[in-house]
Amino acid sequence: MSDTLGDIEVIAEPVQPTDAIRTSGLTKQYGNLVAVDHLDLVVPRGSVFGIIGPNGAGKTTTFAILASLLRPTSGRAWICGLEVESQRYKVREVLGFMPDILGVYDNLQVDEYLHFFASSYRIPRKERPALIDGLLELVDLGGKRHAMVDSLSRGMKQRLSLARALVHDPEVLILDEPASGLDPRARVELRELVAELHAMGKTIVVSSHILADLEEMCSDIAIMEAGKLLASGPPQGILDQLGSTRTIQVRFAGGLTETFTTASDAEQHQLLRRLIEDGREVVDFHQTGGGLEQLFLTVTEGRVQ
Amino acid sequence: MNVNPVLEREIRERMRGTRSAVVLTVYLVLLVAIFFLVYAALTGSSSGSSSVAPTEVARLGRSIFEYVLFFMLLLVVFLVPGFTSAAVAGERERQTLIPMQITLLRPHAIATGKIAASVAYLLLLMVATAPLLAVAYLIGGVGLDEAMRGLAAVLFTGIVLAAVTVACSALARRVQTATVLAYGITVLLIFGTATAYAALGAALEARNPFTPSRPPAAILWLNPFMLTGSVIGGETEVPQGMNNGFDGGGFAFDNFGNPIQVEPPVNSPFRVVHEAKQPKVAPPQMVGNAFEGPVAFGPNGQPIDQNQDVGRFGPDSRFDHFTAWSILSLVGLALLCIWFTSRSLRTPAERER
Repeated sequence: MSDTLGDIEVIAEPVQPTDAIRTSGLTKQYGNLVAVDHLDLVVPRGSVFGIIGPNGAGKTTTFAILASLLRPTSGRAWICGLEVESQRYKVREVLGFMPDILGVYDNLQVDEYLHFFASSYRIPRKERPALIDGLLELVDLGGKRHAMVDSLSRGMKQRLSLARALVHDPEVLILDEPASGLDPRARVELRELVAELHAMGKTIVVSSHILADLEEMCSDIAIMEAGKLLASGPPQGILDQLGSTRTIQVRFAGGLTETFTTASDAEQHQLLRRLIEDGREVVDFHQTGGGLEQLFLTVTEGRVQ
Repeated sequence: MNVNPVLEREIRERMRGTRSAVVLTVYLVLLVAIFFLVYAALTGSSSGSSSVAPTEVARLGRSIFEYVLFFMLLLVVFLVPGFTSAAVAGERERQTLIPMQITLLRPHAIATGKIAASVAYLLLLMVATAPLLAVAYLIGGVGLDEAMRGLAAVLFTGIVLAAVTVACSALARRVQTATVLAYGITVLLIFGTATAYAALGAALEARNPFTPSRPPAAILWLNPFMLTGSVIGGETEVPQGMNNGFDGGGFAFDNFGNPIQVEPPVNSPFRVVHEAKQPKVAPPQMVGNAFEGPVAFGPNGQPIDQNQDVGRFGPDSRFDHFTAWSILSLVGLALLCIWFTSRSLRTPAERER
């Protein structure tokens, strides 16, 4: 991992055309606090990339650097091959960013809100009405076109925020904590929306500290903690690579419950076979706390202060 | 045609709220009330007979014009920071700044859009009150060009103050802080400069009572009341045909080379401006004046509050080209503020703001 290299300047791997986002030794320091610590992140084009980490792991800071809002202390970042700092206006053309905050104006209608951002992205005036129609339809706010922005529910504001991030049809979309504060129904809708955007060919980066939010929508996962990248790749790949254990809960006839641990599918199968061959009356056999949650706990084990 | 997106959005937002309508109404009612009070006071003091000398009517018109303009400026000076201070800090508070900063909008476009939005509203206020000045014009004693110049000076002051306030708003994290800061600077520009000038004058006189040197006029360049008083020129205008029209008090003598002031001074809130530009004569006499306006602001009022026979001494060379210098320095201040606002909106930043 790059942090072991200390201050040695690492020659950046060339940006590949298959990279939507690449960072190299990205570091952001506030005084003594290192918010992002030599982050080397690669987000493949066309992926739905989940970044998991506890609050304060550096996700939002990383996004702020990628959105060219913050200047990194050191390191570089590229989006679609464009350097974030030196080519920031070009980066902004290909990047849609939805911050974790829902700033909305008083006294502005939904369509006027999008109109403002469309003009801020220099979309010609006569193209805006059709664009806004399409966006409102996409995020299912067609009926709220003339509603005041601040009268919308949280879920609607979230979707409007997403529509705003899509105004300039960006290739890469970064969503910071999009599911926070949403009710279950709104979460499902958000997930469907992400799937739809993915189908449109966009690369989507989603962060969350709630694992269940990401579990179903992400093709790739990165785990961040204390500004460092702990693991990155497809979820199952990380699990195998780490040789992490799974917890299996088995319920027998008569109400007896036992817990076993296994490391792989093969081992899990062996366990079940052995139990049955032993003549135990297995009623229920399932993995608990598996998937991302297990992955997350395994990876961050012993490192959480 | 591409309108500044920030300006367009701000106008929509601002004009939709009830606050704008309320402020406009209050502003209009206040100015109309002042107009009537001035009119009543001035016509009451001069003999109310039916046959009034034309010069008397001209002086009345002139006074009304100067009072209305004076209070217009006063209201503008105290309204502009109020309705501008939320410009950037308000976006920070509502967390709408970041979504705007990540668009293709350049920082200077945000800064100028914000200023333009305030100026647009100010224009509305001024258009609404222009008829009051027209009434003064009808009475006489004021030229159309002077009225236009007066309005332009008020508008210019508003633009500069909007730029100053937007800069305060960019500096502050909260609207409240921005408001306090903006009013602080406004008060400094008006009362601070005048007080400094008066205090320095008093100090210089104390040091050398017989031939006192006088404080530099540059102290007053940034004072919008000085500028406006200077721009509307003379104190008295005698009706056309009776004299040569203009006689220059104030700044006009530079342009017209006619510095002699024969008429007694008009009852004017800007008198202090004209007097500041004249050499001192002793002994000081206070002027009986129902509307003292900012006359009272000096700590002892001494150096600027004197009535004198200006004709004997002629213009003060320190105030040569005062209007030009004043405009130049205020433009400089505004540009500095725009630069500062743009700088603080620039991304990527060291810290998220």
